[in-house]
Order: sequence, then structure tokens, then C-alpha cells
Amino acid sequence: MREVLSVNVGQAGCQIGNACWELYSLEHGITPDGYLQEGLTQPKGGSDGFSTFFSETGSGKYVPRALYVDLEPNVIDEVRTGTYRNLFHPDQLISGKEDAANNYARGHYTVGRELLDDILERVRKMADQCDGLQGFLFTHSLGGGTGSGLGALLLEQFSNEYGKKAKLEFAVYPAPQVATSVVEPYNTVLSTHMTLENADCTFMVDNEAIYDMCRKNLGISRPSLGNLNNLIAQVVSSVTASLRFDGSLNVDLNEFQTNLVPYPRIHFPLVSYAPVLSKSRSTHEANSVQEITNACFEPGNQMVKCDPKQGKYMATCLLYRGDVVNRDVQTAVAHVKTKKSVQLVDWCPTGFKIGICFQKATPTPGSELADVERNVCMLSNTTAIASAWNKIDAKFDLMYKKRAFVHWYVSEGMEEGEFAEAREDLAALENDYIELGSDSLGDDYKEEY
Amino acid sequence: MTLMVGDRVSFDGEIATVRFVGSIPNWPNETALGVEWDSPGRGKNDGKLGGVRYFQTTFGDKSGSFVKASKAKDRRKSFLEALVEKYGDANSVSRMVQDSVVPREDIKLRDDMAEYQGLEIGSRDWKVLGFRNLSRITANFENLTHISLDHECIYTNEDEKYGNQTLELNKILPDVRVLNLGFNLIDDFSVVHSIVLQLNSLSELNLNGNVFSAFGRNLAPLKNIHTLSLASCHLDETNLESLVSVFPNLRRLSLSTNDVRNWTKCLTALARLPNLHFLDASFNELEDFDFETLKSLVALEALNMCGNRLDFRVPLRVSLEKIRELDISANNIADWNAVDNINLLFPQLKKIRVNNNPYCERGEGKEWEDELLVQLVSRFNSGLEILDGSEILASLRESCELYFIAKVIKGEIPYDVSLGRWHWLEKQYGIDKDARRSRKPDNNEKLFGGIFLSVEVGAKLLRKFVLPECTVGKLKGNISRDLKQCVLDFEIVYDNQPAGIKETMTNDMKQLGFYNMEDGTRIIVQSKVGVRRET
Amino acid sequence: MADLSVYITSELTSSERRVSPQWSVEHFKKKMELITGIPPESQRIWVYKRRETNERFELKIPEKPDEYTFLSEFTIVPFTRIDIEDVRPDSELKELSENSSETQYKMEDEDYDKRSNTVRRWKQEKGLGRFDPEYESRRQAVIESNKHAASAIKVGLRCRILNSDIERRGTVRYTGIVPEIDNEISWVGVELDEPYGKNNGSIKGKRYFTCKDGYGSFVKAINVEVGDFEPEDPFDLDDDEL
Repeated sequence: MREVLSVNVGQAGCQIGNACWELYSLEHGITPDGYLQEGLTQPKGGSDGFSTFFSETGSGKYVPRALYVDLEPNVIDEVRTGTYRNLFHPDQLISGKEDAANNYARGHYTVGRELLDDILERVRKMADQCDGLQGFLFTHSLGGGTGSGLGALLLEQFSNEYGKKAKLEFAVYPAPQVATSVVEPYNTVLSTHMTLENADCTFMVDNEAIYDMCRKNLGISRPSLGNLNNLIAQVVSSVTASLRFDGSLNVDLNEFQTNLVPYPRIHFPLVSYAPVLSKSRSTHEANSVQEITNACFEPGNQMVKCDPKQGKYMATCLLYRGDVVNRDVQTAVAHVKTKKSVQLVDWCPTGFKIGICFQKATPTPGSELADVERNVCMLSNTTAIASAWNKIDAKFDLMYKKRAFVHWYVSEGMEEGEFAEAREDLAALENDYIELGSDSLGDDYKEEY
Repeated sequence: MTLMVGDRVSFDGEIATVRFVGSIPNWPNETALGVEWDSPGRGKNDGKLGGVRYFQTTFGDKSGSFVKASKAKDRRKSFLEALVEKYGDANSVSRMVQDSVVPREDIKLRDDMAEYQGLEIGSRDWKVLGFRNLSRITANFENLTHISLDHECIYTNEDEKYGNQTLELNKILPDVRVLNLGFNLIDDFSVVHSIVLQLNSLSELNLNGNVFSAFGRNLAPLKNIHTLSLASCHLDETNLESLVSVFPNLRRLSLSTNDVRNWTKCLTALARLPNLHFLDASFNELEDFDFETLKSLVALEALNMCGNRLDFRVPLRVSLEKIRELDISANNIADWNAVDNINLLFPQLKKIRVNNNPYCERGEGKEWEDELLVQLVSRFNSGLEILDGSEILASLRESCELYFIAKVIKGEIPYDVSLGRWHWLEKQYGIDKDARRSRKPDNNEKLFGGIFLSVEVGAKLLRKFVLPECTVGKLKGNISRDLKQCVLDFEIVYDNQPAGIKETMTNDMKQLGFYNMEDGTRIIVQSKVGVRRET
Repeated sequence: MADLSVYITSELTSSERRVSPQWSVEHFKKKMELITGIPPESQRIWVYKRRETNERFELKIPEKPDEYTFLSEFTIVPFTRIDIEDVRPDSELKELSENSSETQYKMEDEDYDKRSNTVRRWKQEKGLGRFDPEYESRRQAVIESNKHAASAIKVGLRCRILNSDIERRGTVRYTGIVPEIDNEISWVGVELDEPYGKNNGSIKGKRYFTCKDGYGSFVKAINVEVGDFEPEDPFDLDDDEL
């Protein structure tokens, strides 16, 4: 068995975790209290895949291999009292009493560190129950205090303790237009600096991009965090489907890194998802493999706002789910090939990959997302994502040149040098992307001036 | 391939019906086809060319074209041919061979991986994972539960290639639950019928974009089908009537984008479906609709009328209490009066979409959006849970309704106060009809004038004068100032010994008037240090 | 009393947050400083009566210190908006909303060179890109193939461009080196029949030929095929349909 432990950190991380586990439970036929739905004799999707994400207790109850961590109690209290309260064992839900106050240093050094031993202990217990732990899947935000600080701390600790086990993260990246707190750029840069070395693959999600999808594609007039998280969960579910379902495709967590990450620092694939279609319009939208594949190259289907036409692709993974056949994928890919906007880094040793999971996606009940026969999630490592770093770096610099709010971090015991060091590292990351984009031989793509 | 008048034909995926076969002066050496496109604006004429009428279009005067017969290259297939091409491999055919179907030799079946040779982007090969497995799964047709054979140019179920025998589809596809045959070239519904009749597990059928010219006679009912999609089929009420009679157990039906003129007749036919739960009549250019006959669809709970031209200007004398979900977006709803009429017509809605209507365009910006929200939430009955995809929380509803009431009372929002909805709002919020004072006290509210409470802090006794409107939170704040202690560090207990009541006052928003208090009632202050959450 | 969710806004931020009615205004202000960056003494707090109106009141009771004023003393509706105003006329926060990239720190090339664990280091160590011993010869090959292709492409010939999925035809107007792009590749300047180009025949201020805006493009010679390509009339798709 190749188990995967999900670690949800901070408010955003835990709420996305909730949405994901609700969806996983539905997809595998597990009731909110952890038992098989009526009429099933075993979980849907085959036992091997299923057991990577769920463990079975003697009594026929299934428990997610998940850990919820937050420094303040509110969000986790909601899990403790909510519909899925019986799905989890109390040991899987760890909350403190004092929040991180949007401060990376509190999450990473002072308050967060107090919970660390407790968390590591419980992770050890969960890891002990695994036959062959393949790695960890984190969900957290980069802008908040707990998500950025404690999230980075855990990734660091897991690196020490679990060495080569894969560590993938879904990270909520600050929306470009509206900040949720003034120090968001600090937290993001500090956290990213720490995790550059420790995470193997980071899928970023920007709430603003998701918000726009909810409004434009799903016709939700006032999208709530709940709507956003449901959509994010669909994406996470598509990425993990290949791990959770036996059959057509069995991917290892490590494979994401092998296929998508040419060089360890360059581990931020852009995620696109299609179709994002509302129930009321689903009869009118054709939904062929070619159409959903093309949609992945449209900015409106991206989880982070950036322009891939301005960048070059290093690697691409197309993960299809549902009623998809070879011939259709082949036609679709052949069409992608002719796209003028798809330019490649031609010297880079990574690949292009297509995967299929025969099990189609399940929309959460009450979600506006249409129940479709097929969908696709595209993970592409493109240099265009550098613009996301560029934006956050610019915001960091505006504050840091005045040393605004730096004292909040210093008073939590952080050294000011860490700011400069983190920022240098991110500047180097921007240069890394420029370096990736250069040296193309030019015989491969279609330059035009 | 020889095409005849009435045949369905596809040009690069665009579907048309052949209306004329012959020669025209423009192309003396070619066979010309006069076609009528399924998309009415797609063509160039109405069947007349150079002053000569060759045929007459039925979907409008720009739906006809003349094309060279040699250009009709999209290959027409049989159902089985399409199935094998899409899902099959050599094994699936050999399995069918065992089922006594003999394929002709000229059918080439692919080795699925072989086709990927040469599939590369730039200098890079695409690594393909899962296909071998996938092919193995799908090629064993017994595993298939969902089949999508849309846009496949299927025109028949008779199969020359497989020996033209009657196939036992129920054996070949025993488990298929969902079948999509959308946008094919089948012109006779009995072809579809003969396929579906054999698929015992089938419950959902999609026939979008097929234009039938024949509907068969005395067809056996397809009792298992509960979901049927007939969007863009150019159906009118007559052929619709004969079609739906074949599906007696339908629960969900889509009639989006069709040519029905007489909806009364159509609805009367639908009323014979006792289980019809959801009806999609979107994009039908409807200017009015027979809601009275709609009422005879006894099981109907959800209705999609999106993309029509309904304005609801005139109130209707009928109300559809059973409908819980309604999509009325992208119509001609121009004012609030129409919204009120919709509310009267659908009094029990839980879910509605009303966006994309002209009334939405009457303002812009954040404030206008907020006003829209207030009015929609308040004008629809309070059972409404989801408005334009967003949940209406109880707190939001209350806040919208109170604001709405205030604006109506002030005359800033014109509203017909004779409506039942207004009576409900008045009752709900205790609005006094003439005086329009604020809330009436609840029945269990026990009022007192100003009183003195005895507040015990350990051995110390404080006297506090309070009014019934004073909240527990305020009282706590007051005590905290006297004690110079944070309000989080203590709790207060209401101790009414005569009545035998002793309870911790935890609800800071609760007014003291809700407690049975009199002069001298005891309040005990208890320290809570140690449970403070944060400083 | 249970916490409630509200929208906290300030000039620079907007977020959904939970607040507890048990908090004192003083405590609330301290929390808001960490979100909005406005120190408590400079905060003026406006509570919107309802989410959907502009009626608002100040979170303050006259003569009563913030320390002893509690949120529960105010009517705060769930999901309403609470705006934190910065009363300092010369607030440093105002500058943080600037959108200037001038101040942005960029790493100097030599500093980047000095770092270990960079993409450039990796390319050097693994011999990738320009550090590939064969890179130069491959590059020369590309230059050669373009030069070779260019030799058959003469100004005035009809041609079509092969680098995209749409058929674009035109007339060759220039062939040769374009220093504004690079100094090696043979480029072909094409005047297209349709406005699917990138310029009007000039590139970065240097004019190579003249045509209407959007009709000119420079593409690599290997992407140009010369031949008898008649102009296509987009409005008369084909004579095959009447």
C-alpha cells in the first residue's frame, strides 16, 4: 500500500480540507460518519487506491488519513461539531488557543512551535499505521499566519523526519487585487523561502481566480468562501483521483515531481480545470475532450491569474476523468500541438504526460457545478507563473523599504535578516525563471515579431 | 455514398437535412445537394437559386444552401461501427464474433499504442499513461456504463459491416446506464428505439441535435428511461407528443431549443407522464407560456425557462405550489412588479435564478447590486434558500427584509401592500399596521420598569440600576468597570431563589427584560480566570 | 455568545473574519492593527448597519474608554461590513498602495552567478541549454536551416506562413537579418492578405517595408513556404456553397 497523509493547516487549509474530504467520501461511497453507503459491499474505486487515503478500523469504519491543525480553535471546533464529526478521530484534530494574528513569525516560531511536538507525535502515530507511506499532501494558505508560518515549519520538520517522502502542497496564493491583510506579502515571501527547499511540488490557487470562475462560469451572484472551497476541492480531487482509484492509471505522488519539476526549486505548476459549467447551462455546452482540453489553455480556467502566452512550457500533465477514449485525447493533443501560443523550453529534461481515470468526477450536492461525463485538470510547469512571484515581491518591497511592520515579527523573536534572506531567495527564483526561458534553440516553437 | 432527399448529412461536423438532389446550372458537371442546416442562420437562401425554387426551407429564409455532393465527406456510420471505433479493440470484436457477429475483413482495428507514435510536441514525446489499461477496460464492452457517441455521424443501427444481422445489444452492452447519441444523422426515431429497447440497464438518453422525420408507430414503451434530453431537435408539438408517449416513466426531460408553437398541446401530452419531475424549456423564444396547463404536470418540481422572452407583466391567476426550483434567467423581466408576479405564480420556491434580465441593467455598481439583493430576497417568499446560486443565510434574509420593510414604509420602495407577502412580513416582524411603530413585545417577554439588582462579588455587594432594554453584555461591561476586571474573566449568574432558577447569563445580546426580574434580584459574579482565550 | 463572521475592510485590505462579541473595543482594535496595519490610536471604526446599506455608525461610546466598551454593546449583524479608517493624514500606508515597479529589488546578474542552487548553476553542471557542448552546433544548424530556407524566398513572391493552425497567406516583403530581433537568424517580413500580423512593416522603430497596421509580420524563414498561393477571400468562403 502507498498511503498518503493529508495535512490541513490554518483556517483556509482546514476549510479546503473539509471540502476535499466531503468530496472524497462521496466519491468512494463513504457516509459522513465513516461507514459504507447502503448497498455497497466495499468502497468505490477499488481497495488499493481507496486505502491510500482512508484507513479501515476493525469495526468496518473508515477513517481519513488526515490531520487538521490550527492555532486557534474556531475552525476545527466546527469540524468537531459538524456533519463529519464522526468521520475523524479526535486525535486527528489539533487546535491551540491562541491564533497567529496573521503573523508568520507567530506561526513559525512562538505560538506554532508550542504545538509542534504534539503534531509531530500524532503524525508519527498515523505514519506508523501505514505499510508504505508515500508522502504528504498539505493544504494551507501563504498569506495567513498559521498557514504560512506553521505550514512552513511542518514542511521543514517533515523533511528532517521523513526524508525522501514526497511533500505536495495546495497553497492559497494571495489574490493580486485585494489583500486580506497588510502583511500578506511578508508572510508569503517568508513562507515560500522556507518551503522552496522542502516542498516537492506546490499547486497554487488564487482566490480571486476561483471567485471569477464562480461568478462567470457557475453564475453564482455572490460567491462565498464555501463556493470557492468546493471548486478548489474539485481540483484537488482531480489531482488525487489517480492515486485514489485503481485501474486505468496509477500514479505515485512522486510522479508529479518527476514529470513536472525539472529542477527542485521550479516546482509551481499552473493548474487549470475544465469544464467549470453550471447545472442550468450544461445541456447547451458541448463538452468534448477537445473542447475541455482547449479550455485548459484559456486564462479563465486557470487557478492562478497569469498569462501562459507570455511564458514557455517546461512540462504538462493532462489528467482526464470520466468517459474519455484514446482517439479523442489524441485528436485533442494534436490540436494543442498546433497552438501558436504553446511555446516550449526545449532543452529542459521533463516530459508531457496524459493520464486517465475512468471514474468520473462527482459534484458535491448543492454545488452549482454540473455533473459532467468528463473533465480534465491540466498541470503545467510554465515560466509564466513567475509573474505571480513578481507581483508579491513588488508588494513586499514597498513595505520593506520602510521596514513597515517588521517589528511585529522581530518582537516574536524573528531576526530581521530573515526578511532580506527570504527576499533574496525569491529574487533568485525570478532569475531562475528568466534563465529557464532563455537558450531556446528556436526550431521548436513559432516565434513571430 | 448516394444521398437522397430526407437524408441527414454532415459537413465538417455541421449537420443538415438533404432537401434536393440534382443538378443546378452553376455546377453543370456535379451533383448538387440542396440542404437545410439545423442552425437556422447558417445557410445562404431559402431553397431558391437564380430565380428557380429547388426546395423550400422550413426553419427560416437563411437556413438553405446548395453544396456539391462530393463535399459531403463526413463518413456516415452505423451505431455499432461508431461504438467499436470509439471504445473497441480487436478483442471487443472477437467477443462479438463469439456472439455470432462476423465482421467483414476490411475493418481495421487499431493497436492503441501504435497510434501514439509520432505524437509529439516539438521535440518532446508525450508520455501516455493509463491508455493500455483504459483500452482494456473500455474494449470490454461489458464494463461500459456511460457511452458517449455524440457527433459521430451515426445514421443507422443496421450494420452491413458486421453482417447486417440483428445484434443482441443487451448481451454486448449489459451495463450501460447513460447513452449519448447527440448530434447524429439518424432521421427515423424507430432506429433509436430499436437500440434503446435492447439496452436493459439504460436510464438516461441524450438525443440532442437529432432531427427526426419519422417517429415510428406503435412503438413499445421504453419504461426504464427516466432522463431524456431532446434539445435542438426541431420538434413541434405533434411529433413531441408521439415521442414522449414512448417514455412513460420520465423524471427529467429537456425540450430546450425546439420548434413547439402550441405549448398547451405539448404540456397536455407531458401531463400524461406521472413522474415528470424536471422540465427544461429553456431557449424556446417563448413570449408567453401556458402555466395553467403546466399545473397539470403533477410531479413537476423543477422548471428551467432560461433564455426565453417571458416578461410576467400580467399577473396570472394560477399558482404552482409544487415547483421548488426555477430558472428564469435571461428573459424579459423588466421591473419589480414582474418579480412580484413570479412570486405569486411560484409561491414555494427554494431555488431561483433570475439574473440576466433587463431589470438587472437598471443600475450598476456595488450599491445597485446590494439593492437588487435586498429587493429579490424580500420580494420572494421566505422559503427561498438559494438565489442566483448563492445561499441566503437567515441573518442576511432578516437584514434584507427589515431594510425592505423600512423603505416600503417610508415610501422609498413602491410595493403593493395588499400582497400576501407583505402581510407575512408584517406578521413576521411585528409591524403595526397604522402606527408603524417598531416591534411588538413577544408573548413571553416580561416587562419591568427600572429596577435595582443586587450584584454579589464575593463578599461585596453592588447595587445596579438597570432598564429592561439593557443587555447582559452591557451589564457585564458595567460590572467590569467597577471591578476593573476584563469582561472575559468573569461570568454572571442570575439567581432567582423564590422561583428556584439559577442560570449563567451567557447570551450577551439578550435583554434583561427576558428574565423574570424585580427589585433586589440577585446576580452573582463568578471568576473565570484560567479559561481566558487570549489577551 | 457565538462568534460572528464579518467583512473587515480598510484602504488596503478586505477579508472575511470572525469576531467575538465578548471582545472589548480595545482588544478588537489591536486585532485590527494586525490585519490593516493601522495602529489602534489611529483607527476610526465604522460598522455598517447592514451589509447592503451605507448607513453606518462608529464603534465608540462617547466618554467611555475602549477598554471597557464591548462589541456586544453594539448591534453587529453577521456578514456586515466593518471598515477601519486610518485617521492619520500622512499615513505611511498610503504609500503602500502605490503600484510602482521602480522600487522593486532585482538581483544583479553577478550576485545570481555567485549563488549555489540556482537554475543557472544546474544548467552549467548538467550541460543544459547554452552550456550543452552541442548547443553551439545545434544553434548553428538552426541558423543554417533558416539561411537555406531564406535562399529560396525572394521579395515579391507569394507565400504562406506555417507556424499556426490558421492559414495565413501574403507576399514576401523582406528577407534577411533583423538586428532588432537577433543578429543571426534569417527572418522573412511578410505582408499578409488579412490583418493577422503583428506590425506595419517596421520593428522596434526600424522600417523594413510598409504595409497597413496589423498586416505585417516577421517570421523565421523555415516557417515560410513560397508558392502559388492565391489570396483567399474570407467573405466568399468557397464557391462550393451557394
